Amino acid sequence: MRLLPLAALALAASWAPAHAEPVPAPAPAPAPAIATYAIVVGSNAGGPGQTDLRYAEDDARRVAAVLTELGGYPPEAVDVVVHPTPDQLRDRLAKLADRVRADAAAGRQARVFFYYSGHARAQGIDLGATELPLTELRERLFAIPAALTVVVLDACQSGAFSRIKGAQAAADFSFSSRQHLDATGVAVLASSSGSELSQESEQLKGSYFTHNLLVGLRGAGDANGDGQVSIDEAYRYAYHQTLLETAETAVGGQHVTFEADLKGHGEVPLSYPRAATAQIVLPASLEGKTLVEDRRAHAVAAEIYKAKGTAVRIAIAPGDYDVLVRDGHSLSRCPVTAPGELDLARCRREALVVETAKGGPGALQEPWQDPHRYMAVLDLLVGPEHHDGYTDNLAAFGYNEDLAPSGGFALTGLRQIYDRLWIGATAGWASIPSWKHDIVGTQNLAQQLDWSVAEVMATMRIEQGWWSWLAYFGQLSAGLGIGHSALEGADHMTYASTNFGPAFAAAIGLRVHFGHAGFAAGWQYDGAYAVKDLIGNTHAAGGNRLVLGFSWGF
Amino acid sequence: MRIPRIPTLVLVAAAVSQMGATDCGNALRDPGFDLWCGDQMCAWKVERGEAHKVPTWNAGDPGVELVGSDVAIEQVSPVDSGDGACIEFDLIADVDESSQVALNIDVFGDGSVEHVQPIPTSAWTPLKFELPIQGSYRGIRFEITKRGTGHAVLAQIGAKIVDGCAAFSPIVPAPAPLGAPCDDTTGCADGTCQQTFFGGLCVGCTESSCAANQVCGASDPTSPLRELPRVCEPTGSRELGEQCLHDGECGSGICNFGFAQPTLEPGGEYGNCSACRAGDACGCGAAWTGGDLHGPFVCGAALHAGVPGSGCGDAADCASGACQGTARLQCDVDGRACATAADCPFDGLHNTPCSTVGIQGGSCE
Repeated sequence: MRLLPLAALALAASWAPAHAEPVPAPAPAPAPAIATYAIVVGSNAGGPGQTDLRYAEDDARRVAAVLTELGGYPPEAVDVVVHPTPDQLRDRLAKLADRVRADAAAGRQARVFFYYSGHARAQGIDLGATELPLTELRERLFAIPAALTVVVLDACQSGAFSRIKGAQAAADFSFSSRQHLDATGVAVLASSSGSELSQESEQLKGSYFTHNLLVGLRGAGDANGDGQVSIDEAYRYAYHQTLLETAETAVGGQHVTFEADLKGHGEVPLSYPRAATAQIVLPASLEGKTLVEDRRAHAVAAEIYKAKGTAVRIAIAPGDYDVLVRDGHSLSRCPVTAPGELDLARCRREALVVETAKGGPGALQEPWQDPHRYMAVLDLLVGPEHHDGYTDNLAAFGYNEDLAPSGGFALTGLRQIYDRLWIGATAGWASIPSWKHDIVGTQNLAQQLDWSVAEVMATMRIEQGWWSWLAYFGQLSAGLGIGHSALEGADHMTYASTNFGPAFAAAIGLRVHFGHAGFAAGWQYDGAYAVKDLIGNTHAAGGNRLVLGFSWGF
Repeated sequence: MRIPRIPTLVLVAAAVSQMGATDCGNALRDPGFDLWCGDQMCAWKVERGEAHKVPTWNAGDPGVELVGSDVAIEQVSPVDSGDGACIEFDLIADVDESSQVALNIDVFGDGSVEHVQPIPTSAWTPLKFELPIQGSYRGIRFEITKRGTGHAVLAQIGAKIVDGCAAFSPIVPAPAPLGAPCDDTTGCADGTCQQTFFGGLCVGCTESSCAANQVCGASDPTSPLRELPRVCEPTGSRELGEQCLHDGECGSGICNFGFAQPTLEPGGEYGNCSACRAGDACGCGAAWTGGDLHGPFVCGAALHAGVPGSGCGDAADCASGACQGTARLQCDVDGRACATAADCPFDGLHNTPCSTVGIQGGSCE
């Protein structure tokens, strides 16, 4: 591997954006004659025999965001190409080449950043069912007369435990990339070595490599604290973090490779986190494995090991975040709003559950790890019917309640919107015990009230883990109740009526889950003010219920 | 020949003595006004004014609206002191302030109201009260009256026998009418309280209390709740087919008991005035409708042999095929004269049937 030559420094210095604040030394302002372009490609689609990836296109979007936020690339210069065909990609490259040639004709230098995340085989990248040969990609990139070309390739395929990029394990993708793209003014970062597979992470919701590269670019990779992250710093950070996090996965350790052939001197900065509009500052006293989680997106934005003694700035989009810090066997959750500095006094401690089968050493785990964001729940409910003025009136009119309990079911759809909070909707139905009134002085002549209630409600659930597979929850629902009653009179006529009214339900319980499936048991108190009589009584259909539920996460 | 069955004294006595005359403790039939025969209540009788069927808590569970400024409905219940001495009333009504509604308790059903229980103004509010009744009694007429022009809907008036009414002054029945049970406390309004196997019974006469040319006869029934009153009657005043206790009551001079013997016990056998006695060697028999029902006994019954002017109980008794008289309507259970089932003793909360059997006062044409 050849490291970045010092000769590239002068050229690299020209990447710094005008508003960058170099720390400790001032960063030079970008020369106006330099044009910047980026083509960022993501493709989840797998080719023949390949499983679709889940996060390649998301990774591409995240890379584009960091380039515009922190890399000095104007938004209009970043071309995000999602799920392209080979012809579409050829067209984008050709147009870029024309623009760079035009810049050159006008005396402007240009730098180009090319990123690809998706499937690949030994001879090409897989853009869905069609392959773009690597040799052609190399030639087209070489044909762009840029002063500096940075190529980042994250080509992976899903595997049994983590997602694996690079469909064929034998494919020496990064070697092939280096061999064909070694050239003056070209730097190549590849997600794995020639004999390795690259992996995606369900927890990170992206590939290990791209995630760590971006975390490094956001500031975690700024080893010398100068407020900018060079390509060398980014590589070192991505290399170590990716190797750490993949070391104990089923696929094994993943080694990021870096190859550069640059003329000039000095470092080549890829990002300027100091200049970001929003940062989270981790205080100097903080120490431990630190994970920054986007509270709204419920996604990991950054993950670093924070050493004690020096404050660290993480450039990040403005918003609310949770910073989880693991130190030994304790886990602290600290809310913070970017831009802002983490206030350790606001941290609260939580139980720590470490999964040993995946995630790698030091990976932070939530105590309750249900990866699903949507859940369908079928509950069966049974319990005695609530008594109130309506039923008291029935008793006064000579009716007697059947001994059978109320029983029914409820179907709930939930979506996790934040951490432990789920919202959704519930539709339910329950049969209420009949009330019967024998007509005194007759034989086998009676009046019988049969009734039921249906409910449609909005539902909110809070679920907190006790163990990795066991959680307790509380749930509230409110909505519309629809009561139906049918009285068979002594004249053998049936008098049916339907009423509407508010309905509510409150439940607590325990839930276990094994993969997609889960089972719950709990208690519920509910009521639907939806059965009315003609003399002003309303029955709140419901009562105490034993709940047995089956859930399915997806 | 038509041969009458031998009546069973005990069975008849039990039937007419009304022992345990409730439905699982309920003293009123259809307390919720749920049974309607067309526009009329099946179990309640309208005495005055109008009573309309109206919805209550549900259109299928009707109540009765008392319409007008003077309305009364009633139901006669066979409940007696053997069932219990405390009656619990459950009541649900919708009565406004301009209506005065009351529940009247007429023990023995003889028209003398012993207790008036006002029903307060209410809006479907369940009410409950208990009333103890003192001494021996048989039968209560429950009457609900309404005065005033206001709104009054009754939905549920349950009357149930319960154990014990604490801290209430008991209703003291008026002296018992003839044919009603009596004891030292109750006494009899008329006649005397004669002790029988089943207890005291108010009777209007004894064998020796009637004047000359009179006999202490069964007389006509006065209420389904009571026995025949037994009063002094002119000798020979009863027609063929009418009930009797002595030969002297009958114009034919024969009070036939079939194979039974006359008795003064409540619910005991009555004979009927006949032209011959069962077992006479004249082909003595009677029109027979099943069970214990039969018409007057005549010679050559059903042989089409009766000459004109001879006594008959059925057209088949006459040579002419025509027996002139009036159809005999009598209660299945004890043979007393009746016009409808409402005149007959109770079985539970229901009156026993009233059936036509033979011809009363018949003579062959």
